[in-house]
Amino acid sequence: MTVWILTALLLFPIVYCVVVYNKLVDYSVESANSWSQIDIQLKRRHDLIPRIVQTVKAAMEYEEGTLLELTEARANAVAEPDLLRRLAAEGKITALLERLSGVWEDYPSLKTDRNTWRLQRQLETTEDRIAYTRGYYNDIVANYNTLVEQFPSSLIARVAGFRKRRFFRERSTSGSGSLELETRR
Amino acid sequence: MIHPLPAETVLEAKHKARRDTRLLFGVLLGIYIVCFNVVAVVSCLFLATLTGIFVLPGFVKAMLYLDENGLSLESFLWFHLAASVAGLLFAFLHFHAARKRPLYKILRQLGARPADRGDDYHSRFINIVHEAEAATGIYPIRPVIVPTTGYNAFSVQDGKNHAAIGATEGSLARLDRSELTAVVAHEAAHLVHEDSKLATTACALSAVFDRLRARLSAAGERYVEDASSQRRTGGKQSAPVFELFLWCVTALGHGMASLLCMAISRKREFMADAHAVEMCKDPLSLAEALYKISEGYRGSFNVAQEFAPLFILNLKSRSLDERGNFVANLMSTHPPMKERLAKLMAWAKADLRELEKRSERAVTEEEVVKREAAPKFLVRHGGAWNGPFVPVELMSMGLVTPSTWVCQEGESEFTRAVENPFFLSFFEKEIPAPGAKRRCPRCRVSLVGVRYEGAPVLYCGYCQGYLLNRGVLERIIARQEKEFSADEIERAQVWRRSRRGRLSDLCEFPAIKCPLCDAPMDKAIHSSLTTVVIDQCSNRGCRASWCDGGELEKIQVLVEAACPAS
Repeated sequence: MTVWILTALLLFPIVYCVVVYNKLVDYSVESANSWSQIDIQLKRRHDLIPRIVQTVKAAMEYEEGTLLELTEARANAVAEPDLLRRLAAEGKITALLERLSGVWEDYPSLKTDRNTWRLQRQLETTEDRIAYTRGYYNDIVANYNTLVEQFPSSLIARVAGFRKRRFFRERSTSGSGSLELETRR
Repeated sequence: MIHPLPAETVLEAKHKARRDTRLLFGVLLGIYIVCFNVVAVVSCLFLATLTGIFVLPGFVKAMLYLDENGLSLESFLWFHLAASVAGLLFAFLHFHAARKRPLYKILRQLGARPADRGDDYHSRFINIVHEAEAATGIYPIRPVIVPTTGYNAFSVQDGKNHAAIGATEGSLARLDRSELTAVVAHEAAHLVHEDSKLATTACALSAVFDRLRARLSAAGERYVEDASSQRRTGGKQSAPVFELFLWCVTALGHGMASLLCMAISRKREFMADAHAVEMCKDPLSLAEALYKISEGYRGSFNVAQEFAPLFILNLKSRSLDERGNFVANLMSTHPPMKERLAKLMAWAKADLRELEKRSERAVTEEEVVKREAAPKFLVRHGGAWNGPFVPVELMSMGLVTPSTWVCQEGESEFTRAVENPFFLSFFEKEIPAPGAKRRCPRCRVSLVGVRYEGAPVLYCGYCQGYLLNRGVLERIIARQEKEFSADEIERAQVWRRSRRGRLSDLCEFPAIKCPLCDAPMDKAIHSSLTTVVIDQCSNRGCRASWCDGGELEKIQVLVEAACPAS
């Protein structure tokens, strides 16, 4: 009987270590994956912008400046390969698209055009997806950081070299996103 | 859990659902084996009493835990091991037989047809299913359509891994692309997790008991017959205590296995929701789609119980599903809608009230109860009686207008929908106060002033009838602004050729009163060229004409065909 109890007592920490380590790996992989998902959704938005500009150009005469700025911001974002540095341009795109959506309703010819309506709906869905992937990334990071910081899992995280990650935060004033992503180990 | 985590994401939801399914499946197997062992023990005891224990062969004695020295642990273990293996083998054979059903047979049972590439809505659905193929790596997935106006979607897979994703016409028409994508992603998630197989396995385990119970019930009936015949002849027969006990065990086993099957199905729904969100990154659209489906009529399907979990929502709206208490949790194949929506909205970082605002209104539990309690009606549509359905379902299917004939199930009298108290509430807003003028003489709703070929007319949106002031009909006939297709002209001419007989034979509708002056309207044939019967006000000062739905167009088509514009 004593042997069994001793074995159980010995096994428990081993099982715990394995479970926590695997969880940390899961969250680490998932956070990297969700980060790349943000990139994919942003690319989807880049593909949508030329179509939107092309469709609304004729109707939105008074927003020519906004459309030009949007095209430029997209070109800057596409030219920048690093996601972290691209975020400033992405923030500008978000702000311009918000402005465009705000005045969209003022153009009756756009409101009744089915093609434009479809594009608007696609843009809304893309923005929703971007918001979701960012939120999901933050949730995953929150869970990961909890494991990295809480005792006793923090011991395993320290030994295995898992470090705390930073959240994705959107600066509401300028509309640009910021994130300092620390890589594992 | 030693480390409570701050956020429940899709990842945790998937892991939790997978863990719970494994646990429930383990419990299901455990219950199955225990019940099967009890059945085996009772059967052996029954055999022993029949044949006399001392004349039993050695292996049966061993099965009854006996050897030369009496009870033995070894015999006990061997017996139960053999019983468990036999039970699992039995379940496997049953499962194998259930899995033999090919996909086309299942689809035929569901009334599904292949999607039509030439149709815009179908084509959009086919494209979405192809996207699902790419996302899941399951190839091919057949896109199929169920021609019903209800909202629902499903996925099926047969024993040879042939898969199909289906949607109803109602879903295709009323869900937008992102909502339909989310729904297809949910169904594709069922295919990825092989829920069709899991549901069949779980059902096979519970069906084994069901089959045994059915056999015992039949044996019980035979016993009652034999006993009564022996009583008449004066003979005696012992009571079937063993059969009765076995019946109780199998009934208990079947009941518990069914409950566990439903619990597994509920967990799989959560898992499919989580996986769908992971695939399409759009929890809000899935929530919106679920909300729309839960609000509308869900279609009429004739499916086996084992396929019910593969639909995105329960086939029938039941108040039980929406309660979310312990009993409801036990008895339904789908989790409560509120719980599913709450999870999706939490993932979308949005408020549930936002969703309720987006849709016109939420379906409350009271409404579902009211819907269940409402009587069913048959309606006259397309030259046939359809139904029976409850009024809400009929309205959502678009089969009822105020002038449609309806008949309550089990009764012989039929009335216009607008005259029936169960349907009246749907049209109340459009029905003007009693005594008001300009009401449709057929539907009783307000007539709307519109222009027809430049002339002002009054129009009923339900029956498509027109009320024309004196002289307006002649004006409309003279104008040839509206163009008719060759098909419409052909149909009108075929209709004209079928018109023979006197005025009384040609009348299709009952007499009415003038909506303008309330004087009776007379039936009159417009002309021998058209033979359309119109209603004309008998009041000389009014002389308004009423054309029922399609009559004005027929007059125009036939006149224009006879004297075409130069």
